[in-house]
Amino acid sequence: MDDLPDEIWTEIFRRLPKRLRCKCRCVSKRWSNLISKYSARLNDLGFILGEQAPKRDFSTEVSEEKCLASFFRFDEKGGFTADDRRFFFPTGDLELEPDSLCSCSGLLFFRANNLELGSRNRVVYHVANPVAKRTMVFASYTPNHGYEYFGYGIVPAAAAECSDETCWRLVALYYYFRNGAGGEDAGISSPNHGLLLTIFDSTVGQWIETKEARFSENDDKTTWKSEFTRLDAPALYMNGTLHWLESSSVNTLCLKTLLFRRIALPTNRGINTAGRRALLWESDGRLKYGQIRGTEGFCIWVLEGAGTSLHPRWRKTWHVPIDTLKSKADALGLFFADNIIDACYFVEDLHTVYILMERNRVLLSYDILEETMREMPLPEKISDLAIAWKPRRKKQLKCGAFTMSRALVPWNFNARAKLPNLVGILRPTTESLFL
Amino acid sequence: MSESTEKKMVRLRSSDGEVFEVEESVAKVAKTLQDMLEEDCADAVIPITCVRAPILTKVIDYCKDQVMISSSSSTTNNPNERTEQERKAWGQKFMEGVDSSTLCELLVASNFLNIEGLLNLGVDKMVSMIQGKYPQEIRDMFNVVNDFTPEEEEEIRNQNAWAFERDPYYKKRSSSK
Repeated sequence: MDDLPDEIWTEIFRRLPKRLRCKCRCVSKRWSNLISKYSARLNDLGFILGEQAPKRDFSTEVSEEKCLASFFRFDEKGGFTADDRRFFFPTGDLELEPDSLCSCSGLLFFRANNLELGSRNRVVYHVANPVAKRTMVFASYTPNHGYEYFGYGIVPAAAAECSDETCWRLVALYYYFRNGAGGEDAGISSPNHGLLLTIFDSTVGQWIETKEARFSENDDKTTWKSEFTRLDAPALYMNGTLHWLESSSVNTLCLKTLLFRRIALPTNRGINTAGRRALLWESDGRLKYGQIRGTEGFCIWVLEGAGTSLHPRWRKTWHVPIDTLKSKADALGLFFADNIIDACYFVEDLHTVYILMERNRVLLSYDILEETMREMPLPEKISDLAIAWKPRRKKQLKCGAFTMSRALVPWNFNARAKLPNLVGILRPTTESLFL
Repeated sequence: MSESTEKKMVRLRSSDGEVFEVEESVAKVAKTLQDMLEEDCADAVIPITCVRAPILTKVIDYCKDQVMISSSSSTTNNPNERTEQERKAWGQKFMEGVDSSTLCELLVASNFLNIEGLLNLGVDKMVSMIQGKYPQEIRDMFNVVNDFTPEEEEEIRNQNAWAFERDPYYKKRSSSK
């Protein structure tokens, strides 16, 4: 029995549930030591725990040149304060991939290439805790798949919050194909191509092979092409499912069942429409999708039947007329044109839709009942392009700016906070409007 | 992939002297052997010093199956390719009736020969064997010597008391002591 090497034992303990692992500590000294060692590594990964756990509302700024990140802090009362704490990531020969930046539970995740190693397989992931001022590096998923070539083409990564706040998970998407097989048009249904999702679980300390993400039976596998795009926005975690937007679909991955679904968008968004803003967000526990459509204005759809065995479908709820948008823009002297629709970001909250004119740094709110639109200036600290935002809780609206240096600077609006220029954003709930 | 090459045979000798002749493709499932074969240092019999004949038979069975799968799925039409469920069922069947000492030898062998799939199967089996057992039962099963002093055992048990809590079976036992 004792001739089993340590690494095999560790592998066995890794696959045991926590309770059983603790029981096994009572077996012998060797077992106890091995499990302690393993647990220590887990604690290291889960360093979100304890007093030094970061607040949830941390944002990050990563400068590409210096690998410097600074963190800003936002308190629940709606205050906006830049945190004086600055945090340096190890520089060395690491090349950050800013597109991979994401965060959850106050932790920051990103991917970096180790240029020194010269191989594109040398991709490492970082997780940083801004409060504890610690980073941790873990290797990217190493394929153990029997496939000869493993494409690292597109790897959107998203941190998914767990119900248990002491752990985090990172999901990475890989597109793989066998060498010389089929070409890019073969689609996902070909046995030589596939989509693989791997999850890094901090409670396990390793990438979990989810095998191949399963497709629901209703999915039309043949339409799948290798049209992977970058994540436009951080993936959305809702009801145990991760959602992210692709060029023509919303992809969902249930982290529990590992069921992968691809839900076609209600309207054609087009593939080469980099400037065409479309937004995915959550409100009232439902997935919403918004996009400017033709002369209609900004339309909002809600996804129905998600999480059931039925194939989910989009239902159009309501829209902000394009005329109202235009006339308000004109009145304020703002830049707005329906053919340059990337001038806006949208978000909806109860019966109010918030429209951010990114180039003009003005927040508009449109009341669906009164059909009125009002404007609110944003904090002056935001002085750069491209503002994105997302609501989280029902009573809380969060927005932020992606600056030129790819910094994400969010801030909060809170109905209870006394922010004179933002008073009245939230109104009594009229949920029936949307349900 | 290997269809173009002629079927070359490889001979393996287990620790108790038995010689097995297998196709090269089968041997190559084991990464350790693959490396040896690629370096051309294996024209004679390859001695596998730490694996007994019955274990080696089992390992070869596994490798043969892997070759069968991969050869069928490398062609474009692959009716033989298994679904996830079938693979699981096959793995379970393969490990059925394997006792703990055989399992350990299998694990050592697959570790030595570097056969990831088999190692995974073995570890899964191990986990399923440990599940639902008490420390003493685990010791008995794997012949692990309890090297804790009674005091130490008491202490470590207290430290991990939560793992035994909420386990009505355990409570019954400890209260009847």
